[in-house]
Parts: sequence; structure tokens; C-alpha cells
Amino acid sequence: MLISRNWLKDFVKIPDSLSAKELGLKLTMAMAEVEGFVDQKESLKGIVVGEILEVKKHPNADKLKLAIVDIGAKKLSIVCGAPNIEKGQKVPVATLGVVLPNGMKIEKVKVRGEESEGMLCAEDELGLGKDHSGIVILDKKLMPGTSLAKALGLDDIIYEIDNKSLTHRPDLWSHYGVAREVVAILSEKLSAKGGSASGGKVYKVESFKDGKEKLDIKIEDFALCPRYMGVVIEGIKTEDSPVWLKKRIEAVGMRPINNIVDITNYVMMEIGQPLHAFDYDKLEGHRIIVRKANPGEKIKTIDEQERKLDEEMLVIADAKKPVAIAGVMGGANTEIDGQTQKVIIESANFNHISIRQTESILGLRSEASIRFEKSLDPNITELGIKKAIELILKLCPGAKIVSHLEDVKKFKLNQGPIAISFDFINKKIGQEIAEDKIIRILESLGFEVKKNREGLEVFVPSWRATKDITLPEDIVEEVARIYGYDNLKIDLPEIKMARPELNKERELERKIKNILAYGLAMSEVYNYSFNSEEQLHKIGLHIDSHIKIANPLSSETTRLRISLLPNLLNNIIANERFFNEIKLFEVGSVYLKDKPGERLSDKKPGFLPYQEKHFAGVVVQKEDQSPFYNAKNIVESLFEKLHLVYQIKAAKTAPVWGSAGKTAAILLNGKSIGLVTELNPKLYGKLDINNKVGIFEFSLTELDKVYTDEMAYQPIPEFPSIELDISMIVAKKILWEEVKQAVKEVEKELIRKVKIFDVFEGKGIPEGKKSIAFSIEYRSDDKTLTMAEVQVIHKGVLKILEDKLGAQIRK
Amino acid sequence: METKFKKIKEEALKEIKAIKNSDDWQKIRDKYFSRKNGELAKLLKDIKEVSEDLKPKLGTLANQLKTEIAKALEQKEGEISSKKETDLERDFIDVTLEIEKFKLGHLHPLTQVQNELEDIFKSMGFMILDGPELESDYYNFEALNIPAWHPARDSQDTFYIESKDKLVLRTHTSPVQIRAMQKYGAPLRCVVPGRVFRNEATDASHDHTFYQLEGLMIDKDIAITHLVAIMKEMLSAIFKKEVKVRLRPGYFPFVEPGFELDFGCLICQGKGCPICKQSGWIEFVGSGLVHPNVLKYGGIDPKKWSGFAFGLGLTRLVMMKYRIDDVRLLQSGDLRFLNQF
Repeated sequence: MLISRNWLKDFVKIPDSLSAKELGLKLTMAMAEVEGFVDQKESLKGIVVGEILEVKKHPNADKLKLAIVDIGAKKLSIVCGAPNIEKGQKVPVATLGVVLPNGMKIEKVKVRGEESEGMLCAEDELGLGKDHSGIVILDKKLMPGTSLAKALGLDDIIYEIDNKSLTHRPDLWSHYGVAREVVAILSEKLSAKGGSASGGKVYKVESFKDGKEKLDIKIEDFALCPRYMGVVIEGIKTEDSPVWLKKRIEAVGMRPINNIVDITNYVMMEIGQPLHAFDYDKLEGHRIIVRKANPGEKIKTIDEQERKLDEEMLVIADAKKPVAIAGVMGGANTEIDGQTQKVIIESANFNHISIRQTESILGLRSEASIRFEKSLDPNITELGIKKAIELILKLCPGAKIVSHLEDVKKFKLNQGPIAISFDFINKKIGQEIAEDKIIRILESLGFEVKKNREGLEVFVPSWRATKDITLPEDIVEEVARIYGYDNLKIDLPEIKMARPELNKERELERKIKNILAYGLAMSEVYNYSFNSEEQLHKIGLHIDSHIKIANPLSSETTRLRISLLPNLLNNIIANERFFNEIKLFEVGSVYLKDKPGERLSDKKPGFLPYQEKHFAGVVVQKEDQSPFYNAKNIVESLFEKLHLVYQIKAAKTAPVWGSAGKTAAILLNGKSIGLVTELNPKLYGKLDINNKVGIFEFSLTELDKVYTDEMAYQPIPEFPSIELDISMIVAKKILWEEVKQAVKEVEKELIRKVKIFDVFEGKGIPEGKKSIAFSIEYRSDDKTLTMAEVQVIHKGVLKILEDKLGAQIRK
Repeated sequence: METKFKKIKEEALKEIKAIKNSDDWQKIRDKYFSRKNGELAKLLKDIKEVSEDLKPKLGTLANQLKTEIAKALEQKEGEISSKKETDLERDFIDVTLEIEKFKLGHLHPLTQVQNELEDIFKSMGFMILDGPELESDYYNFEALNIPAWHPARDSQDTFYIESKDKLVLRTHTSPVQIRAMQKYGAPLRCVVPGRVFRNEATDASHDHTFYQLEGLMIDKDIAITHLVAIMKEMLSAIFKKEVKVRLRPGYFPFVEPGFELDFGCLICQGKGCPICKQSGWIEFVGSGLVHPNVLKYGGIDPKKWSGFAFGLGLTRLVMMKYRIDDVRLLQSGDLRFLNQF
């Protein structure tokens, strides 16, 4: 929202010694964030009125022109590309060295070989508007060389206040409202052009005599429209507004339309009450009904958009049809135009929730609805319409009030009192503030305060009573912000020491991340939680087992992941051309549809979809035909480093993206918590991945359930071991795991390690067979084993291998 | 005896002449001059055995011999040292040569910064908590004093889930405040780092997915002055130097009063620079005293307990720390980016 300092000065004395920046800072520190300000005089410094003496063609460019411009002191030659310049025009000229409001610095440059000694400016370049279609054409009467700020009478400072920081403050959406704050902040008094008082109650409107005719206004639901005021005025002549009014409207970023519309906007900007003017003659039955829209009703709004209405939307209707979407936008059917002679001025108050619903369904917000949605004070309804009448009578000499000033209302504000103790205020702030200081602050903001034995009874002013201030805590904020947060002495709390409960899963997550990155040389990626349907389809995943986003912004964010793998595959695609080796991992949540997770609420039954954290990794190495083993190696190294007892076993089923023959389950205590696999061979072509991909994924949540960091060290062997090798031929289908198990079964205590060092198939080995070579380590904890003792066991091993696995031992 | 002298002399001079490097030189020197078994020491022993009248002469000869050999050795030493590069040549390697580096992996910058923050808060006695990223409308909004149609919902473009229950992707980490209060009660100190979502178009400074860190402290008589002091401690720990903070009004429905907390720009020391948009201050933390309604939703009696809550942008902190100018890089999976960390 834009706030004009000159406009504020109508209501409060702001000393000239308080710089633009200082006032902005004071508002930021005590009221709401000032995002910036434009000092019109400063921003237009060095920009002067120039008269175009001559327009020549640019010798080297068709679209450019060469203008000779008189700026009083001298004549400049300026290259210009705008289509609208002509000899004799008065235009704004930015002279050399000037920095325009948009940051552009004017320097002497050659444009296509022609020197340019300045720049003719469009509206947007001067920060006066958004138009960039041509150079601003000024009044012919202006003298060349006059400063532009002076020529346009621009001597204001315009502050931009962050709308978001005004979400809870319906009272600040106007100059009068901000002026009330300035009063409290500067310890000044509020005045309304002459009148003055403290506490923000003064807003003067001139009295008038209303007419005799009755305007029929009916409100069907006071909950949605607590107050509606209307008046009929005739003898209207719509025309341009006077300069002072236009200037005010323009200063706060609105476009002047005609006197009536400008007056309604002026009143809204001045005291925050949105108004609407209907053309009386276009209103069937000349009556106003505030009701919900009927089924199937439509309205074309003044922005020429046809809008379908919903039965929950509040409309203003005449005898037959809706003529406005209440509080949001007027209808084209009753809009005032050049012919309008008689108008109905509407000043009303609408329920903020209803307004928000309508805005949200229509996707339409207006200056009016932005205010109504904050919950406006129904008291300004009256001030607003009275101010409008005053201005109409002033600007349209023929205007006459023909109707009674109708006022249909039913509302009650909760203005307190709120009981609060000084102790409460001081304890919340953390600092002792003198009682009279507290009272003075509250009164300066318009609160009425009664002191009693317990503390204070605080009566809330109407403009803060719609929902902003209801609690003692709200009063604390008022005192603290005006007292000044900068004036507080900060202090660390004194509390009992306590050991924070450890987040076990998070600790484990960090441990694993460190091992994977700094031990196993993997790089960590963060991917989005989303999958696109196209991506899932390509991979062959069932789309409907993924939770669906109801309002995705793009096709990329339509589903929630159930596995980290799909997005990791995208990472491979993106990185493959830059790297010969890719080792990535990710930790993140997956979202599972049909499994219950945390509670939806403590108030009613039901559960969220189950969510757990997964670890997943992909490994790719150029030319590596079996990255499965790399992936498995990572999982094994990790689990060994974590001192976990785990098993990796051939899995019966593989995920769709996995390779059926190359999938293994990771088991902890016999329970599968994840898998190791290789990308399904069918997917390489589809996804455009060139190298084989090894994959692992497991549930951190499941791992955490069994993980402890307990471990006991193994005594260092006292006696030497003996290693014997075996080389044998077995059937291809026999797993290494089976061989290992068979060997270990023979002598559980003395056989310490069974380590494979070679597997070979092919030349010299019969079809369907493979050759395996491995070593067995024998060691006793009690003595040095002799070769003879070992040989006895070893013979047993060979026999078992032959008998059980049909192995043919190679000698 | 004299012939023996002569023989030693000839042999020694021959050997000295043949010396090629300092190792040889040392050996030859030891051979003749070693106090125990050096040739000259032995010779002197022999002289002790001969008759007294021959001793002077032999002694003189022995000294002459010693001087001559010493002189030859000295000369040789000079020769060798003037050719010192021979050693250097022999041992030479190109120390600037590069071989393939040991491979180390990389933790994502968000992880690194988050770990750092978690450690700071753990040291101040805060628990580290997690919560569901897919949340109920109840915890994400309602229990945080943001009922349906509250205007604050506008500033948080929300991803909704197609489901019979009202579900959203959490728009902030704040729902964990309520879950934590319900689970642990008061007193309570916790922080919640985590992923949040906003349904908005992405550009260099906006992403639909980013990271926040939420904090909550509930105890007896917690006041605004405490909040500011703890924030100052936290920021000083994050930036590893004393930072200035300032508080100004800000609006968040789940706190009352609510504040924006700025810290003094560390780049320009508050003088004003492009980083702080010339203001000298950087807006960084949203905070406030926990709204009594929120305490009630959390099952905590606002008459007995009070507290503060705050939230900051982890993603933003990472971007500030590493001067990252495009937020999308963080979730691009691009190793050319990630491998820098």
C-alpha cells in the first residue's frame, strides 16, 4: 500500500526536520514494514522541461530519431526511439549525470554513431507510472529548463508499506489510520484539518441536509452484511477531477477516471472505507437488496469479465438482477458513465470470511475486497459516505441529495473492556515500564483506560475491535511496540537445566550420511518430493499408488514419491555426460497411501498417510557391467561400520524398475528393510541412460528401530591362524552364500573366515558350471593349531562340499 | 715401517681420488681417521711398539702422512660439495606432479548448515524434532490459530492433497510446535529443521520446496527480552561473531505479539550495501510470544506457562553463506555444483 506523507499531514503534524528515511524507519519499527519510499523531488532531480525544436531522422537507424531540445540554458542533441515526439512538444529531459528512479544513469553516449546528450523519458522511467509506450508530453505552457518536479507540483514523499504486514490491521488501510499511528509514535496530536484532539476520534465531515425520498435497502443476512448505507444524489455531471484530487489519487498509485469514481477512491484511501457508485437509472425498481446469489446467476463486472456466481456469494441486487459482487467488484450493468445524472452511493460493511471465500472462488481481488477481507470497522461506513457526499457536493455544483441517508445495520463490536494487570504487561515484555507511561501509550492509540486496584480496564477503539484486539496479549503488543523494542534491555532467561532428549533417528541419519559421503565417497543430493505422472509411467510404476496433489502448479508436481529412486535416475541422466563415475545418495521422506501414519488431529479420529525416511543410492561407473556389486558393497561396508548384524539374500521379487535376476533383500533380524538391485535392462533405452546403474534403497525408520550403538571389542588374536585355499567346480546356480554356510557348518568355532577370491565361468569349465576359489582361515583362541589338526577339519570341509554341493575339488 | 707408511699413503691417495660422493667420502675418512680402528690410529699404535730412538722420526712421518691424507680428503670434500647436485639429481622427483586424488564424497550444503545449527541448539539444551511433511489442515493451520479463510493463508500458497481428509504439504515447520507440545508438555525447548512446501512458480529466488528451522521454548515467565537475547545468542553462534539484532512488529497468527527480527548486516557492518538493500539490516527470523490459543491447542495452560517461537529460512541461510544466487541449484542434483561442498 502506498502512503503519501503530504496526505498524512492533513491529520498529523510531521516536522519537516524528520527526514523521509527517519519517518519510514519509525513506522517500520513500531507499526508495519516500510519497504521503501520515493522522494519525488529527489528522484526527479536533474530532470527538466525541454522543448523539442526539431526532430530529424537518425542517419544510421530507421527506428531512431534525433531531437534538438531546448532546456533553457542550452540546446541538446538527443537520440530517441519513441514514436510520439514532434516539434514544439514540451517533454521531460534527463540531463547528463542524472540517475533515474529505476537506477539508470544518463551518460554521454554514441547511439549508432550519433552522440546523445541526455534522454527523453517515458512515464515508467520517471517512476510516475507503468506506461512505456511513449515519451511523457507535458503542458505546452511550461518554460523550458523548469525542474520537472516543480512543473508537476511533485513535492511528496510516497511510502510503500508491505501489505503482508498489514494482514491483521484493517485500520491501517488508509491515510487516516496510518496518521493515528504516527500520532502515537511521534507523541503528536491528531487533527482533521483544523480540529484537533488526541486518541484518534477526530475525523471531520461537513454537515449537510439529506433529502426526503426513501431509498429501499434490504439486507437478507446481517451476519454477512452488518451495515449498508446508501444515498441518492442527482444533478451529477461526470467529468475530470480537479488537479488536487487527481494528484492525490495518482500519488497512491491509482488512475484518475472521473470525479465520482475518483471521490470514491479518495475516500477509501483517506479513511479506508470502500464505496461504490451505481447509476440510479440503470437500477431496476431503484432498490437495493443484499442477498446471496441465486443458482445460475451471472454478472459482468466492470472489468468486462463475465463471472459465474456461487450460491454462497453475497451480491448487491436490484429488483431483478445482481448489480455488484458485494465488496468485491461492481457490475457493468449499473456502472456510471458520461450520461449518468443520478447516482446511488453505497457505503457498506461485509463479513470478512464471506469476502475471502468469494475472492478465492473467483480468483478476484480488488482494492475494496482487500480491505473488507481484513474485517473493517462498521463505524467508518458512516464517515465514508458522509465524506463522499461532502466531496460530491463540492465538486458537482449541480448535485443535490434527493434521498434520505439510509442506514440499515445490525452489529455489535466487542470493545472490551479487557482487564489486564501492570505485572502481566511487564512480565510479558520482560521489563518494568512505568504505569503512567503504559496508560499514556494506550490512550495515544485511542484506547480508553480505567485504572483500578487490579490494574487496568482497557476499552478497545472501534477500529481495532473487529478482531484485531481481543486479548491481554494484544494489549502487551501495543504497549511494547510504541514503547519501542529498541528500548528494551535484552536478557537471557534463567531456567532449570535439563538434558534434551536425543533424536535417535536424526543422529543415525547423520552418522550414515557421514559414512556414505566421507567413507564411501558418495555425493549427497536433495531431490523434490514430487514425481510427474509421465516419469512414473515411463518407469512403469503404478501411478495411482502415489498420492495425488489436488492443485499442482505444473505437471512436475502432480504426485508424491513412494521411493527415492525415480528422481535419482533423473540425477544420473543429468550428470552422465559430465562424469565417468557417479555415486549419489539421498535421504528423504516417502509418502505411502494406504498405511496409517501420525494422527490427523487430537480432536477427531483418523491418521495421516504413513511417512518414513528412506536412504537410497545409485552407482554408475563407465564400462562397469555389474554395478550391483558396487551397490551391495556400499550397503555392506555401511552396515559393518554401524556394527549391524545383517543379511543380504536373493530376493524373490524385484521392483518394476529393478532387474529380476539381480535383486537382493537387506535383512535385519530376518526382516527386510530394503534392497540392492540393478536398473531393469528395459529402462536404459526409455530413460536414455547409457551405463548400468547399481541401486540400493532402505528404510531409515526401520533401521533405527533396531539400531543401537552398543558394541564390544574383539580380543586381538593371541595365536596364529592357518589359511588354506580351495578351488572347485560347482553348478552355476549354487550361491556363494550356500558355499559359505556349508563350510562354516563343519567347524563353527575354528573356522574364522571364508573369503572368496575368484569366480570363473566359460573356457575350460563345463556348461552350467562355474569355478570358485576361496580361502578358509582356521584359528583357535586357546592354542596354536598344527597343520595336522587343521588338515583333519579341512578334509571334512572338502567332503561336505563334494557331498552336499556336488563340488568337484580341483587339485 | 717407512715402506708401510708409503704404502698407506699411496693407497689412501688412490682411494680418495676414486671417491664419487659424500657417502664414499665418509667411508674413506672413517677408514683412516676413525679413533678406534682407523688406519692412522693403528699406525700410531704400531709406533708405540718400536724402539724409543726411532719414535721421533716415525712420529714426524706419521704426522706428515696424517696431514697429507687429511689435506687430500679436504680437497676431495670440496670437489664433492661443488658437485652437490649429484645427490639432488639422484633423488629428483617432480613434486608438482599430480596423481589421481583420493576420492571423498560430499555432503549437501543444506545438510552441513543444518548439522551446524542442530549442534548449536543441542548445546543450548534444545531437542531436535521432526514431523510429517504431509500434514493435516488442522495442524498446519487451524491449531496454529489460522482458521479457514484467515487472510494469512493467502501468503502461504498451499499444495492440497486429493483425499477425503483435509491434507496439505506443510507450508511451514510450525505444525510440529503443536505436535511437540501435545507430546512433551511444558517446559519445552525444541527446534525443528525440515522441508516445507509452497505452491508457487519457481525462479532464481523462489522454489516450491525449501527448508526452515522452527524453534520453540516454553517455560515460566518467558518474555520478549528473553526471546531477543536467545536470538542474539543463536545468530552470534551461526555467524561466529557478535551480531546486532533488532526487533520490529511482524504478524504471524500463532504468536502475539509477533516480530520480525533483523540482524545487522555483516557485509557492510550496518553501513548499507546491496546485500541488505542499503538498510544495514537483514530480515531473518520471524518470531513472537506463543499465542495463548496455540498453547491451548497444544494442551498447555497459558496462565501457567508462556513461551516464544521463531522460524528462519535454512535454505536462505545456505544461500547467504555460500553466496548462491539461484535457489534451484540446491535441488538440481547437479554434481558440478554439489561436488564443490
